[in-house]
Amino acid sequence: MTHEELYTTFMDFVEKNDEIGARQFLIDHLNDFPEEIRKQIAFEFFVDAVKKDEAIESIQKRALEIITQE
Amino acid sequence: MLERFEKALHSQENPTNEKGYEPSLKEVLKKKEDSDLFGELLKREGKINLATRLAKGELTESDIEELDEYRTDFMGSMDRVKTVKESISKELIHAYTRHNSDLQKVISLVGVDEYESIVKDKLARLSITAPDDFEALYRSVESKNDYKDGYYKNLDERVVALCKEKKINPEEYFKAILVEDPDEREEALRTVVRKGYSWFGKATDWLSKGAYSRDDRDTLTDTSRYIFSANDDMRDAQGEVGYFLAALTSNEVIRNAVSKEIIGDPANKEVFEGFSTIKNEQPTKEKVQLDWNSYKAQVKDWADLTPDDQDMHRESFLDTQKELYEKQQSKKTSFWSSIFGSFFDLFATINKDSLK
Repeated sequence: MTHEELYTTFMDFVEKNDEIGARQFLIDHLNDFPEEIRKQIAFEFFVDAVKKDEAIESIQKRALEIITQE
Repeated sequence: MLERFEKALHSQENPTNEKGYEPSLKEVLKKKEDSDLFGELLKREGKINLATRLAKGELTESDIEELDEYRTDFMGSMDRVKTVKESISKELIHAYTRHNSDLQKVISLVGVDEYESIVKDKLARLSITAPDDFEALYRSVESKNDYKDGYYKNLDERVVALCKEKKINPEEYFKAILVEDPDEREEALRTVVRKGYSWFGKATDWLSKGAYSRDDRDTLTDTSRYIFSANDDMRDAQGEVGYFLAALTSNEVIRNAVSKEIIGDPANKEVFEGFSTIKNEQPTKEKVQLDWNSYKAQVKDWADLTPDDQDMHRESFLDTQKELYEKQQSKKTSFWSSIFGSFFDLFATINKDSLK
């Protein structure tokens, strides 16, 4: 895909408010993006995963506390 | 003036610096990468004028004192970056894929060696441009270091053991932890725990695909159905512990629950931008073209300029657009905000030649 096609196809997902499709598009075409953008996208998935991991950990810990207390 | 101040700074600070050698302001500014990041820090703090005076070499005495305070902040951030960088390993990265299939896919595309290198390279900028995200990462890495690889397994195993002990219905437990609102989630969990349940019989039934398709299809909520469809392949492989882990992989339902958890303090909602909010701020060809037309109209004798001069104006215009866009995005920390932020270059690349 050319850069223009990447941008316009991605914006089609945005226009349709299709967040899941947009995420999948980024993954499916990760290696088509210019080097710096590819690295940035790859890194953002890591930051996203860390934040979710922390949130899940927090939910699980609180759940454990409640189970233990009750 | 900067040199004079640097001399005074060296004579005062270096001999008593307990942390060992710490680069001076001059040294920070000498290295291109550090200098860029220091500029980002000033921008983040709204010190654009100070950054401009620094770039032009027009600093005052009070500017230098202020800059040195920011240098201390900067060095503190870089210390934390160093700590995180030293902890990043393939094993640690792998630990984050445990609950995140998107990350698994990205790593498989990039290759784990390169991925490790990308993460390490991007940490310093993250610490300056998105300090909240960096702090989340710092806390998480510290926590994982404390407990090493066994931590999550132990946490999940404890949940399983306690559910058995308290005769808690696992399906109800799942539904409860996925409640989006933290207060409502807590109440739901308490209700589940109080109810108790014949755990083993129900769990066996629930874990069986046959039971799901036969008896429970009509009564299961959309939430449960989503989890089932997303994790059929994981349940067989991971058994009982995996049964809890499986509910915590990335899918829409979980993302909502987790998003609320990430937002935490309602005050943070201002910086937690979702997909639909961010998309409205994305530059469009039409908007940029309109702005370009206005810009061009103000350039005297545009038609008489040489092609090189016209190109210079196009580049200057796009730089300004990018700066405005980055300023708009600079306080936002969500996944989509960062993705869109990185897209401006792609957008600019395809539009530079179309600015007629």
